[in-house]
Amino acid sequence: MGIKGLACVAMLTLAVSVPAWSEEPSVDDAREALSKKDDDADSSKALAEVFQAAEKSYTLLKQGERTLTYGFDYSLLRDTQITTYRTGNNVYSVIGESEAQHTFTNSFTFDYGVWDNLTFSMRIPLVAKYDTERDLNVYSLGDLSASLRWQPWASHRGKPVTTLYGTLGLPTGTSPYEINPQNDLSTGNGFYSIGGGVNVSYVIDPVVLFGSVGYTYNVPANVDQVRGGRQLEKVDPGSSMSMSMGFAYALSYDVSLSTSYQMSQTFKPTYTFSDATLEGNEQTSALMNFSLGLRTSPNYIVNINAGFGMTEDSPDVLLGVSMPLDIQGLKAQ
Amino acid sequence: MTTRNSPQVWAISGFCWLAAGLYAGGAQAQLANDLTIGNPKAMAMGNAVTADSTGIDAVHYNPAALTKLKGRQSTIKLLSGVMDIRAKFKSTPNYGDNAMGYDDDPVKDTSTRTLTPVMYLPGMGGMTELPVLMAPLAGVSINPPGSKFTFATNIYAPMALGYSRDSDDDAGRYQGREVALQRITYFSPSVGYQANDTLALGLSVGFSHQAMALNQDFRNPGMLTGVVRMLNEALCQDGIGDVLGPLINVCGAKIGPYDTLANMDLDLQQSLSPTYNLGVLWEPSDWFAWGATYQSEARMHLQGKYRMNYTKEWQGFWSGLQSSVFGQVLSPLFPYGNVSEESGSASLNMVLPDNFSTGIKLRPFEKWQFNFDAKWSDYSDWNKFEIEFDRELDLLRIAKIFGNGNATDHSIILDRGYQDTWSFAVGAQYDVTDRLALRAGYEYRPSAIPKDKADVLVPIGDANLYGLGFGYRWDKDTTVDFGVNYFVSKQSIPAGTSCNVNCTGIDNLVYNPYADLDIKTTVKAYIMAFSYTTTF
Repeated sequence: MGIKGLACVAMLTLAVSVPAWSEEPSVDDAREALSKKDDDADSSKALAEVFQAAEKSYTLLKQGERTLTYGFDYSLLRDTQITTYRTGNNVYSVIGESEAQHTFTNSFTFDYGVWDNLTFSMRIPLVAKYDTERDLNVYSLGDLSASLRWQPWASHRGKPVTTLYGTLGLPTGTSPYEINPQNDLSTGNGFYSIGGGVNVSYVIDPVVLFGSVGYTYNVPANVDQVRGGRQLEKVDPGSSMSMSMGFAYALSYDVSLSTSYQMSQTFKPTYTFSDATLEGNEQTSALMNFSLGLRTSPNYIVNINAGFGMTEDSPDVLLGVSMPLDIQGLKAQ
Repeated sequence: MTTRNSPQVWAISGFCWLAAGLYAGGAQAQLANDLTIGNPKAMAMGNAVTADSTGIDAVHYNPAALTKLKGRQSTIKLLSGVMDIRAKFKSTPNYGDNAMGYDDDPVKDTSTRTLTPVMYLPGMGGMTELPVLMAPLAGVSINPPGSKFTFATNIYAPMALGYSRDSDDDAGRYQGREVALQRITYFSPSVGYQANDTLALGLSVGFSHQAMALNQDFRNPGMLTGVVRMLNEALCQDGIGDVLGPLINVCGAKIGPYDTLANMDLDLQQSLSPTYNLGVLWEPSDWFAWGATYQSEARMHLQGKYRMNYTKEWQGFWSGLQSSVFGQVLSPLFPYGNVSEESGSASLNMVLPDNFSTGIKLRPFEKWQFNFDAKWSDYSDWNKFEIEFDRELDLLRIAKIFGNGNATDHSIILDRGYQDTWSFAVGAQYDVTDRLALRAGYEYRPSAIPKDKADVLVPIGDANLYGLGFGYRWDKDTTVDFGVNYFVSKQSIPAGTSCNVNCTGIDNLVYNPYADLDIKTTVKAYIMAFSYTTTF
């Protein structure tokens, strides 16, 4: 066996006997036993979890962790559009068209922890849209989006948590510039978008305050479409600024409420027609959203939210449900 | 053994009589249903698998059979095939009489043949020619231990027909220079439920991408273009043309019955089209099983782009005519001929037909299994395809006058008039050992296209499908399956019998590019698939 072998046996014996030493009861142990543990159920942790489930963009995953979330959202947009038509060479007419767009979105969001402080996320929306005023409908993949969230500084108790984010939107949905606007509906933006911003959240038990600011650059797109009797050739959608703020409140271990306000300002788009260049209107969208988080089992939180738009450019009604997709069979056995 | 056999024999003979009766009652079948699912067992058994287990493809054939999949299984499939599409155009004895006597048609007494497959690749250029058709497909299923439920999702192609005749001298280019009609189900959450020892139920929801892309040349062999050519030849002599030019100018360019006038490129798709399949499987004993499946329809609104290119002859002739007094008086009736290309957005309302199938599985002897299926397909949904354009097209200005109601300012109506079909299939399996099973099958598929609606665009008449294959259990958890299909369909369209291809009336401008020609088409498809199923 030799000296090495003896050393090994000695170390093993030592290792096995270590727990025996610490088994002796002490005041410290009693204090330790009574103090809070990480996996204890307490309102602060419940709050953090519920907040994470409701406001996914504020929180990160551990390295290698994966989650899949299913969301179902409904929104209603009622609007009356005044459209100008060129019927002859110089004859224009103005027609008011009312529309009521009911949009149902089933979305699957995949989150992956690249590092402990960097999370990659991807969202795949499947959109069904109905215009009940004009009797039109469309089913289509929506615009895919991907994002990275990075937390540059470790979080400390009593300090706000700051994360920076970058997003990329892909025009995989049906573009509003590649349809016949009289007969068809769109399910996407029709252009690429690149955005970034910062999220901040701050826990004051039993409340989490949160807020964000961001900027999105929308990439101009070349199009070929007849709009109001004119040939539309290029669209520069204009960039947008957005902000949000709100708070989440834990009513109990199982129930929490969250309220948020979101606002975004889209700068003037530019439409290049074959015979003229026109500027569109700035758009301001503002939304109030209320969500209820219900813990249906220790690790399973379902979120239900309802909201309303506060400007003409916003959806009138918003409803949604989201839940983690945790298919037991898919996890390694 | 003998006592066990007698009811089976009765059942088999009864079913054969039933099938024969239905067959004699004038059955019709389908187009390309089930041809591209790529399930080796189903292929080998002629798609007579409604009462049988087909692994992960039960999502399509009968979701109730998903209950046969235990534990956690994954399947990968490789589907490959060749489609040999041919058409012959034979002139009739008095060919040309309907086009003012002109009979110098380069298409007459020629033929076209293509083997080039086309797939529609969404987001990657749409219609794409491929050197070989090869599609990898996959699916997974999960049956939690002890559960009566089996969950699954699968990727498969319920519809795929694509070919290219992309050449300026291909005789078939006036009805499909490039065509892709394709449906890919990319996500299909499904559940099978074992209700009791003998009864299983199943539901699958399919999320599919549907594409319809078409590139084709236009011509109009008939009296109208014959007259135009005759006028051109009579009036555009030196001297006469100069005198008449300001009044009526037919000398801008020469167009005739057999000239290509335009080319249309159409690219339509819908990235999400939901459907559902319902299935039931009843297995009262180990020698008999019955299954039935309903596959729902999908009402679609395909959207996309079009591009119309006009030949120099088209542009020259019509802009010349419009410049004369005669042209200006009748200007609203005629094309302008002032653009070489038009492009924009187009849309098409299309219904994916619903299907119903039912069948039985019999095991009269220890090593033998026989399957019989009957399938109904609701192709009468394909009555008309109306392609709507976002603006008035130059070609449509004339087509709407001479199109017999099949064209408007903004749309072309492709008259289909297809009919519902019943088809019948039979399959057999012989278990050589516990591990190896040999399979063969046959499916009779009468066409959904009536004789007076046949064309060269979708040249699928009554068809026969033959299948062969085997399954081999590699080990406890792994099986491999291999199947081949030979599909053959021939049709004959005598001149003037189908106003989708060869009618001669002056109002048949939409769309009879082979007016007065006798046409024979053949489609032969050789399809093979390999699948590998294992646990994970």
